[in-house]
Amino acid sequence: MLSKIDEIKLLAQCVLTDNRDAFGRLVENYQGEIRRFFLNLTFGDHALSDDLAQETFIKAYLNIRGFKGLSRFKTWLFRIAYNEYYSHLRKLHEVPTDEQGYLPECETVDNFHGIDAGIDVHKAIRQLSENERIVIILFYLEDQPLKKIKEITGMPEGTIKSHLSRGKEKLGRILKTLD
Amino acid sequence: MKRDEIDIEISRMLKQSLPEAGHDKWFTRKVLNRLPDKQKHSRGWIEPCLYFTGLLVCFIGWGLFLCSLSPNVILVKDIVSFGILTVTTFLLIWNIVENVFVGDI
Repeated sequence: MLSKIDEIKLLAQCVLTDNRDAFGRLVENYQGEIRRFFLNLTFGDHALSDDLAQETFIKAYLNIRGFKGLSRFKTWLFRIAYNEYYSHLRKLHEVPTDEQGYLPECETVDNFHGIDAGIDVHKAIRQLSENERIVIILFYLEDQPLKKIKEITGMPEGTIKSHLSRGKEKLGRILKTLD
Repeated sequence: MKRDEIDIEISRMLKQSLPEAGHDKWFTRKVLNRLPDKQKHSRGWIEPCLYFTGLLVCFIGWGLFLCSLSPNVILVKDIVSFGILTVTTFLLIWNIVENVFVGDI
């Protein structure tokens, strides 16, 4: 794990001298988290998640001069990853967004009745809407605080809390079913 | 928003159950291979100015060298001067030609 100072040094090298080795070190440091983020969003599709992760880092490289350092590089990277996933979904489904630009809440199938105990967490995550899933993954898996999730997704804090609460409720129901 | 016990439990459950990406030793290489070619940075007017000045100095140097030559005597300093001037001129011209063909200037 890179310290903040090391990260700043590497970023400076990337910006000033286009040092590919420095950028490679940044990729190496964050590839696990970004790939895991996409892996959970794509329900375990390794090929797709790797492809999205690569696109994220390439976009980060191309826009590295736009990184102002107001947030941590990791938060900025996750913001790009989030936008990349959003673009992927739009291409895939041609889903129109609402006035605020958010994905629509997908109808979730309530499979809790007569469910067998073998329902796994993956299936539970699938029950969530896209926005709920993204927020749940960022909050619980990536341990991002609400403030960072707000920076990553651009959603207001109230909306994030709402998605978190609904997602938690749905997951809580599944936990009770498993018990 | 502070995390309560339920949050900690959900976090633990998800981390235990959902897949880890694992470290891919080739991932970084794949990303670096997909990056665009390195751009040669244009140094604007400074580089052509320096090359022109270098050529001018070389030209003056050759002029002085040829004027200082004695008709029938070749001194050690003449050989040394000739060597230095030749190498310097060659390197300068080589750099100019390389940059012109690459398109930097």
